[in-house]
Parts: sequence; structure tokens; C-alpha cells
Amino acid sequence: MENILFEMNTSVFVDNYKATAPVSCIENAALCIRGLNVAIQGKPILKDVSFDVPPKSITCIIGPSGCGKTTLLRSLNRMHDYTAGMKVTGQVTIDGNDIYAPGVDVAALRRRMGLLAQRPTVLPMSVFGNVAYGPKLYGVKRGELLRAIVERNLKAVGLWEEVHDRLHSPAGILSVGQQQRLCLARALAVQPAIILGDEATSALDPLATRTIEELLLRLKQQLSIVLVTHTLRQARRIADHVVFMYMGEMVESGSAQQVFSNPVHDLTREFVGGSIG
Amino acid sequence: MKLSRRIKDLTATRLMMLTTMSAFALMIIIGVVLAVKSEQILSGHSLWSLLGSSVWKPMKGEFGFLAFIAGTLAVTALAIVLALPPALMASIWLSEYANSRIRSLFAPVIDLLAGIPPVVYGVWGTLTLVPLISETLAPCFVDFSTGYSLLAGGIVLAIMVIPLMMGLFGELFASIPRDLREASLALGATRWETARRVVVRKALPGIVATVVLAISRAFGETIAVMMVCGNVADMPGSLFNPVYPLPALIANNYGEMMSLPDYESALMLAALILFVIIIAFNVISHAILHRLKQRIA
Repeated sequence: MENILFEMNTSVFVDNYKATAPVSCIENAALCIRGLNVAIQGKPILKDVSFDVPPKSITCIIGPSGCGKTTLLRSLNRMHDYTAGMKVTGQVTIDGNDIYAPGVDVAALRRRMGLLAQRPTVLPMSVFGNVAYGPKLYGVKRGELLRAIVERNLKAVGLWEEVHDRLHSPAGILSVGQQQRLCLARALAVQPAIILGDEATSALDPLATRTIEELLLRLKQQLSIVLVTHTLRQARRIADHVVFMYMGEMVESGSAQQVFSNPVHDLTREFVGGSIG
Repeated sequence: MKLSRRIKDLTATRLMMLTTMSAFALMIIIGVVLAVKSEQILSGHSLWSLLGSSVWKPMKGEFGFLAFIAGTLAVTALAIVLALPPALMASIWLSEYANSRIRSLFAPVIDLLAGIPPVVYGVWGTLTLVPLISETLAPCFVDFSTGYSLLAGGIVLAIMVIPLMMGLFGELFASIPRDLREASLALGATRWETARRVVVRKALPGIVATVVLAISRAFGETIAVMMVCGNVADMPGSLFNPVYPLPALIANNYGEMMSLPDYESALMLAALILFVIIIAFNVISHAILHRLKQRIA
């Protein structure tokens, strides 16, 4: 079962382009963010943000509301592309390739990063259809293979036992917690290298939250996870690395242990101590 | 609570209920009145001879409605077939591709187009479309056509329902959450794949409801169609032949030739047929819509 891979161009999303100015970042970094600026209608939202996302670990982006966490996350898979008046400058690189370079195949790029939204966003189709959606886009047509992909990914998020007898029911009938796991299975079905989570558990009850957190902890053995969270406790529970944002700027980033127990910056200390936020 | 406040509350409640109920009652009354008025023609002729025959000779007492019913259905079907693809494509473009400036420019234009009186479309059809069909289009296919035809009626009606459809589609697509589009885009779908597989799919019940509304509107549209469709009581044979829809029949003849009591009753029956078609159509489409909503959820 482990080897059900379908023919897809996973690593190449850049046509005829190699990053001209290689940036120095940590070895094997899943993502390298350098001097990222985002402005909407001239108003800056992110200012000169730089950090690395280490591979096969969970990086939590923390900070008070409105500090630009979500904007930052959305810059990583170019979700701002269709937002009018949005201007992004700076570099975000994967494998040395700048995702904002001209000629980048945005669809292929996004496929490398699964997105888990704040509220579960099941597509208007069956449970099966949701998981098969991505593979189908990439040309998987054989029913047998699709079924295997669906089964494998539903098992990976622990949903198979719960839904295997209603695969063809509308996904909307599942509970919110199940829907979020379905969204995760859907993201995994296109074999991403990175999972981006935008407060992915904020709509869930504590039990469903724990299920998702346990899944993420398991998944980090294979992929890199970037999670925006506004609950510090969640970051303390699952983060390996922490990026602290404040007023659109990256204040501090480092290992979770260092940021939580021995922050360098005063603002970070105040935030993790609970006096701001 | 003071008595006066309670009275106001009670009055308001009752008044609003009454208005709602009277809308429903009005529909029943219209149906009953039409049925009563049609009684004369129905008692003198079998229903089959009325609905199944296309011979319309009121002076000889022959009232066959088939050509009118077929004409109504043909003009409506043609209009929807012509209007739906462009309305849907333009709406998808406006909602999924165009930037907000273009969108806000187009929204009032669409409302404006929807608000143009039908008679203006009728005049345009008579002055422009009818000669175009008769002189340019028809000679390629048939020996002769006056231009007053099923095609002219269908095109005019299509142009009239396109803004109606686009207005509703626009609101419909705007109501679909951005998250849903992003979920699809994040999986590597293109904008077109997202529009087709997610947005249109999610909007499908609303699209069907919009088409139903457009069909209901097209069924009843009278003046613009009447001005260009020729008004000859023949079965629709080709796109270039004239047709005679039910509303045009009623509008052209009611108030005239009332010396024939059967004639007036026949026109009432025409109205009743139109009424029944629209009600039946709405009931069926509601059932379809209900099932569709359950399937998509």
C-alpha cells in the first residue's frame, strides 16, 4: 500500500528557471523566507520577514490577532495571487527555487503544499470525491487506483473506519472534526511536501483538536508542517520551531524550547508570558 | 406591557400575515376565475379536441390550442438554449476572473439591461433582427421567410433573459465562500477547474432555480415576442417559420370579437393553460431542486 504513487511531476514546478541569487539558509530547509514584504493597496502588512522552515518538523507561527500570521501563511502558496491590490516582494524558496519568480507553475507549486483552513472546507461532492479531487486533476482516471488512493489517505487520517460505508454520501454530512480530517486526507492525496495550517483547529472541539494534533505529530515524520495558531498552548504542545510575529514583523524565531523558555526579545517574553496578545 | 403596545404588536402581526395570505389567495382566485370562464368552451368541446388539435378557426367553432402551446414551448426553449451558455460564461468570468473594478462597473449595467421595457426589445427586434433574418440568414437555409419567426422570437427573448440570469448568477457566485475556491486552488487546480468543478457545482441548485425563473419569465413574456414572431397559428416547423405563443394570442384578441361567446371562453382557456403550465413547471422544478440540494449538500 505504501507504494501507490501515481505519475506526477512532484519536484519540478519551475519552467526554465533557476534561482539566480541563491539565499543561504539552513540545510534541507523545507522553505526559506527572505525579506518578504506584503502590502495591500500600499499599506504594508508584512515587513521584511525572514526565517527558515526546517524539514520534517512542526513550525508554529504565533502572535496576536492582526499581526500578519495568516497573510504570511498565504504568501507561502501564493494564495494572494488573485487578491486585487496585493503586492508581494522578497523571496520564498523551495529547493533553491523562488516561488515568486516569473514562469513558476503556480498550480504545481500549490500541489506541493497542502492547505488546512480555519474552518473545514469540504468540496461540494462526496467523501470519495473530495479525496479523489486532487489526483483526478493530475490525470488519475483508473477507478481502482483512485479507490486505493482514497482508502490509503482516509486511513492515514484515521477516518476510514468511520466513513468507509458512506464514501459516496455528500461530505457535508460529516461532523466538523471529521470534515477537517477529510480535508487533511484530501491534501495528503496529492502527496505534498509541506502542510500549511491556518488555525486549523480553531473551529473544532477539544477532542477533535487533539485528534488533528496527534495526526500532525505523526505526519511530521514525513513532511514539514507550518501552522498558524493563536493558542499558545497548542504551540507549546506540538511546535518544534516557533516564529513570533508582531505588527507585521518577525520578532523572533527559533526552536520551541528556546522561544518559550528563553526568549531573546522582550516582546516575545511578554507574549509567551501572557502580558500582551 | 401597556395595552397600546400590545395592540400595535397584534395589529402588525395580523396585518403582515394577511398580506402574505392574500398573495396566496390571489393565485387561487385567478385559477378559479379562469376555470369558471373556460367552462363554456370546455363543455362544448372535449379536452382532447382542444389540446390535441392545431386547427384554429374560431368562426367555424374550431379551437385547437396545440399550435399555441407548441409555439410557447418552442420560443421559450429556444430562448433558454440561446441565453444560458453566454449568461453562465459571462457570469463565471465576472465572478472568477474579472477584477472588482470591472465587476462593479458591470453590475449596474446588467441591472439596467434587465430593466429595459420589453417593448423596446420588441422594437429593436422588428427594426434590426427581423430584416437580418429575412434578408441575410434565412436565404441560406430556406426559400423564403418574412423574418417574423420562431428564431426572431427566441433571440429577442434570449437577449431579454440574459441580464436577468446574469444578475442572479452574479449574486449566486458571490455567495459561494472564498475558502471553497481556495481549497481547490490549494490542491493545484487552475481557476477554470475550480470554477467548473467547485463553484458551478456548488451553485448548481441556484443555477437550476435561476433557469426556472428565466423560463417562467419567458413563458409569460408577451409584447416583445408578439412583435417579432409572426403570430400565425401553425405548428412550429422550422426556425424561420412564424409561431403564435399563448400570451400573444390572448393579448392580440382579448377585447375583440367578443360577439362570439365561445371565443372569449377560448381565450380564458388559453390563459388557464398558461397558468397550469407555469404551475406544473414550478412544482416539477422544485422537486428537482430539492433532490439536487440533497445530493450536493
